[in-house]
Amino acid sequence: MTVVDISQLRREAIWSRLWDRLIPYVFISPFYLGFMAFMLIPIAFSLFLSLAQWDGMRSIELVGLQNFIDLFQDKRFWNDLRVTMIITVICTIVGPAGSLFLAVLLDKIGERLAGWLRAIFFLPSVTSAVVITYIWKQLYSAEYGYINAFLQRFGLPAQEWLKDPNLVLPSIIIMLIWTGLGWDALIFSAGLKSIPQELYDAAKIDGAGDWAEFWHVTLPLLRPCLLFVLVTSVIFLLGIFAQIQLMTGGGPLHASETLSLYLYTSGFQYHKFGYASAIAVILTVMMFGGSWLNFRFVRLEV
Amino acid sequence: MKNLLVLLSVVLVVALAACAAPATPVPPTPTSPPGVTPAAPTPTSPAAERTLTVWGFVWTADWLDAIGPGFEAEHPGVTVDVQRFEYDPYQDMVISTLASGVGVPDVVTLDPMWTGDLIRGGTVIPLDKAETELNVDDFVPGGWNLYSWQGVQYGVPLDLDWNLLFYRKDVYEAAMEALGMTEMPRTTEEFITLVQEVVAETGKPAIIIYQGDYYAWYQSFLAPMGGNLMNDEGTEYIYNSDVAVEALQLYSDLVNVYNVGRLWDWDVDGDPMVALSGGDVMAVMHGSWFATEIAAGAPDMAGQWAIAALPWGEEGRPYDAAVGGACLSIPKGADDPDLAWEFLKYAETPESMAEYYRIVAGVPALKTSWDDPAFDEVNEYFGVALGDTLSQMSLRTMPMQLPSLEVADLIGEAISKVTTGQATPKEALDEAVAAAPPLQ
Repeated sequence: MTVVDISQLRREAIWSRLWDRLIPYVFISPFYLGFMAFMLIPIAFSLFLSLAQWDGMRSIELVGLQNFIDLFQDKRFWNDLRVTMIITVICTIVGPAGSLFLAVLLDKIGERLAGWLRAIFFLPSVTSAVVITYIWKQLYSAEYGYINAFLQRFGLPAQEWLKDPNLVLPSIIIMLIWTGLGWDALIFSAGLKSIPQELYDAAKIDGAGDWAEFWHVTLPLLRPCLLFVLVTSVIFLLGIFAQIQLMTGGGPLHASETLSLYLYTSGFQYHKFGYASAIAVILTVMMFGGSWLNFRFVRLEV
Repeated sequence: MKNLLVLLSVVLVVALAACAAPATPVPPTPTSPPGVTPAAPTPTSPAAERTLTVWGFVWTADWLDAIGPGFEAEHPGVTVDVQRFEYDPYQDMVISTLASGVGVPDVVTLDPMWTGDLIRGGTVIPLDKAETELNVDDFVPGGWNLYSWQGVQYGVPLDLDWNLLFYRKDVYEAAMEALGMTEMPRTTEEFITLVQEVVAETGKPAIIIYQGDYYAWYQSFLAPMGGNLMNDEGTEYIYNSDVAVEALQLYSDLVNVYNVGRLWDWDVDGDPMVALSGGDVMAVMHGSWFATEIAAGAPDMAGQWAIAALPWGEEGRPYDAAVGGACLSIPKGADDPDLAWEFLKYAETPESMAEYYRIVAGVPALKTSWDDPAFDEVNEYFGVALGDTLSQMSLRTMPMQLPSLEVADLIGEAISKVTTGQATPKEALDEAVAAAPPLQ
């Protein structure tokens, strides 16, 4: 006769259940460990640094809200905030509007040609930002650029596209809108494909014209796509860095300097990591705010 | 199934632990705090295998590679590991690494553009033995004093980088002949007369003026005209002095009043070689290293370019320019500061420095290295013994003071405001001084 140790069996059963519950967490832990190491801890450290002064060399000195107070009294911060907002607002309005227009046009033409055109428009989205920026920089060159050569061919004066404080921002905005056009148009094209033809047929029976169809059928049903495009655009544009750094370095005289550039300069050039972290906190708040506004005004339900 | 899961979990945990551990164990790093003299060098035991990590950027790394074997031969058991980097990423990496103190090399090549903050931040150790173990008198004073801060030496200089005038010999000589000048002008007034003639004859800008470039303005105008960035004690910024205002006024007037200069913005206009090689501008002010650049960038213009000392200032001024140039330093936290110091001494021998000239083409600060025959070789592009010409010119340089990058940007901003007519030199420089972070 075998003696069964009940308490031993119970312990094994508890361990077995515990292990079964633990196993999934072990398997998903690599992601969370990475997320913690490369996202959560840096974010927490950045929040902490925004309340401190640190040049990376000496010890960290807690200063409370002093970085934010200094930031709000910093003319350069307000200038950069203005530049960031101008770029974000114009590109977020004009970019998706142009993309939507493009997507609707592509939807109306033959599928074969539309496919080719979509590929062409999408090309800038898969091209390196560095390459695109250098091409546009060449186009805008005052002395050797194609745009000025074109203007002069028609007797118009050459412009200092990237050196004139009044022209530099429009020049950058045009490049950014052009770059994002294909990507956004592709999202809208996918959205357009998902709209049932019956709805358009019904609208036609009700006597709706092209404009009414667009306004009452297409646009409402594209809301999820529109929301996605707007939220991603706002987040991308508020944090825009590479294109402007390569195009103008933020010049002339900070006329094209965004908050991200100022963050980089403050942190990695001037070694003011606390100040840079304060800018990062403000940028994050702006991104949350921009996204919330989009969710608030572009409702998902149709 | 359960066993399989257990096995997988164990493998995963082990793998994660392996990822978390450093690839190679990092030995504790002995640090020499600023002000503490590293221990006296001990004879290297042949049995002691040691690796000396040396960081360099582009050409300096080529030179470090070239002298490494000689140092290894003199120090059995030592391997010199030269790590080569491109300039731009190097700057970010050096600043971040030295600032954090983690993963620092034994020897680091530094550039004056961003060394001021590193020295003031205590990230490199004082070279206390420099005065006694190197012949300081053998160095061009400007080059040696460049890496001295408040009387303490933090680096040993490699080359001397000061601004010279690179000009189109054919064009300028024609203008000089028309004006009856027999030699290149040495004062502001005479030079402006000459460049106005160049513009009149060619219809093109006579010289490139770099927009917002503190280095160009400071090295070429402010310093030779008698100004500086800080007071002698290094406690106060003085780049809004009367001399500084005068220097910035001249910088701007060359473009806006005399109409002889072409404003060139590196960020937007890119490399000016296109304008120089295309014959669109007739001169540029650059460091001596540009001799190699122009020969490579405009090879078909051999014989058409010449070099002269800068003309800004009055007759009889003591200096023609302020001097920069790279140095070798020992980071705080270096594994083996004593061995690193031995390497610095080896790098500063006349033979090593002559090798530097042969590879990098920059004039070394060590004067005895100029005796090397390489300095007497006639440069085919310029038609002169370039090494000899440049080394003699270098004697008329003064050391730069090393500002923080923030101050450099503030000065650059002041220059841009003045050259674009948005502020007077006095207003712009006063504002730049007021906005400067306090000196520590």
